[in-house]
Amino acid sequence: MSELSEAEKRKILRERRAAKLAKGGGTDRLNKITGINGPAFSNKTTSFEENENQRVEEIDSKDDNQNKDKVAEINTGSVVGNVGKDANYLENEDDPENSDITELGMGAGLHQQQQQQQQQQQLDIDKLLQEMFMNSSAANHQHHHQDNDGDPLLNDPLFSKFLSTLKGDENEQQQQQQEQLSAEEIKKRQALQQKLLLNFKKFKYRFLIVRFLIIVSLLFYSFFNENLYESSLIFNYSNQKSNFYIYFLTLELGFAIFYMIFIDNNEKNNIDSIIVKTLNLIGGFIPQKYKKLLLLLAKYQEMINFFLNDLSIVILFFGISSVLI
Amino acid sequence: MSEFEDLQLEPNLKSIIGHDSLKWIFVGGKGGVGKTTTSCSVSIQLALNNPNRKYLLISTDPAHNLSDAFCQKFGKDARAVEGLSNLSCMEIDPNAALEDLQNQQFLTNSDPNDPLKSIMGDMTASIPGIDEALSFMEVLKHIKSQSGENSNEIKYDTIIFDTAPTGHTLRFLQLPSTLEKLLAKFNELSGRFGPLLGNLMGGGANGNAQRQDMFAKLTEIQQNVTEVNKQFQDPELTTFICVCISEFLSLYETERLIQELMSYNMDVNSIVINQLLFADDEDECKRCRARWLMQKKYLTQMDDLYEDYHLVKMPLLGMEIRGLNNLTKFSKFLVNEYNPKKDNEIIFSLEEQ
Repeated sequence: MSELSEAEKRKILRERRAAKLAKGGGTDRLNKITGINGPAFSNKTTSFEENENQRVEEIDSKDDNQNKDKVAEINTGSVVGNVGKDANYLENEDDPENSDITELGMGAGLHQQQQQQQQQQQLDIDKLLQEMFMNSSAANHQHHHQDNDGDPLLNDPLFSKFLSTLKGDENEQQQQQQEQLSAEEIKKRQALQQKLLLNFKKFKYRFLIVRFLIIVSLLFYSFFNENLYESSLIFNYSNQKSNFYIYFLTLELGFAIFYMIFIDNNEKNNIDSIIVKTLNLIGGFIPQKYKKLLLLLAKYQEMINFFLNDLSIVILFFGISSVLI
Repeated sequence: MSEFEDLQLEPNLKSIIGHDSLKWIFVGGKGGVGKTTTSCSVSIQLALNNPNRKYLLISTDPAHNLSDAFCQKFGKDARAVEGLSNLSCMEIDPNAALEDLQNQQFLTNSDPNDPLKSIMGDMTASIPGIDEALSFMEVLKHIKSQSGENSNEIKYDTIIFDTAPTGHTLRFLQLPSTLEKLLAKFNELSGRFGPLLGNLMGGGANGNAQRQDMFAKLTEIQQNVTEVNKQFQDPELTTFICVCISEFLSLYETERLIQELMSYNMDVNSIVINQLLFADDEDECKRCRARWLMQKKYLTQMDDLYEDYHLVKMPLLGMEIRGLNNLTKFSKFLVNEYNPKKDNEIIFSLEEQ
């Protein structure tokens, strides 16, 4: 065996220590100490008599002379003796299988732990920054304070905007990640979307048909029961009194409320709005105040369309009836 | 494989005493285990075995003990031990040093509304380890200032630290990677939100200057910590001596400390086990025999767990170990293993102080 220098010996020992820690793991070693893995490392204290009995049993079960000699030795090994090494405490604990240190490297397991810690630190950087900016208004030198409730800085619009921008960026990144889903999920989503759109259109058409029938029924009712054949007669209070306009407006109001509720519950399906498309194109040039108004308009634009549609039916009916009669 | 198995570790600190390249030696442990006695003993042995080299023993424990140990008053400035001219001692409170630093910053920048000051101030509370790093920087500054004219160099060959019992003194060793990422993030934010950050710091050219100042400070801290890290993680320059006693809690804490230190890539190769009774069967004291049995149980565990470490077993003496002479007598057993049969007369032979 070649003579090793002190530095080489130190290096070998360091690598051996690191390898054992990596192999066994820090938790395993701590568990051994606390006695989880075996009764031999129990931390229970025993009475003096029990210790005496244990000591006697240990001496009887081993080579007495050898142990006594070891205890009596002056210059070699520990004066306490190698009793522990003779005992079978660590049946499963051996030196690392591969003691060729050159293949192990320094603290392989520890390196992994460090990498994990670094990754955790990386993930915590954003949290750390948020904490720092949240707390920068307070002259507070406490360690590790985490409670940011009630911090006046949170109410500062500038800081809120900054933080929300930070969070917004994160949300955008998350959305981008979510968009990179598998092709199947994309197809499923598209199919679902189309189905929802189809259902919405079906409802709309049925709604239109029902409206049309009700309005036409009202017109015929007024024509036959109230002899209403001109629109001007509606407003001629001296000759005829007609409740047509009351019925008409009441029905329109009911239709509008019903449709509004439906729209609010199915907001995402209202994507065919021309106003929305136009806003997407030129939205940057429109002031925010008007933008909101226009978006509201876009949302309920179909209600207006329906009303105008019904009105035009009424006008058409009166037009035809006044000509024919 | 056989050549590695032949590496036997002697139960003493000769490898450290004879290790010429060591520049930093930390002595630490938890729970009143005899850190100060051990650090004093290590320093004395270093000084005696290497009379041509200079050593500095520093206590960073706010509850200083060096003055009590040597029965000589020490302070923030290094002072030679009476009777051992190549060993000096210093007691410094890192927290006080940090407060001094912060007060100095306050004096130079007394604007209470300075956002930079508040951000820097809160940074010390936000980043784990930054307080310890800043304290340590102050300690290093103190050490360097002992050199007199050339305050950029340290005039001592080896510095021994009697660390505070918290154990977190060295967690700033994790700082460099954290600071690096933080700085990268700051640069990124500065690029994206530069005007906003400038507004936060006063707006205009003043805001930009302050932003750059903050980055410069962070960078300076990072550079200092990186430099310190480099030395502390070099096993030829730095080592940590763990001190413990042969009891369950101390054993547990020692293992945790070792794991923590190894996560910092700091070298730990020696463990000093203090307060051992070495009671034999003929000892009349039942209590001593009982405690010795308990100690032996944990010693056995330590022999198994730490077979790759130098396990130095030190006796419990009959009185407290104070004064240079007593410490010198006691420190011999760090180098020559204590034999309870031959060396037991020391137990009751210490001088009264």
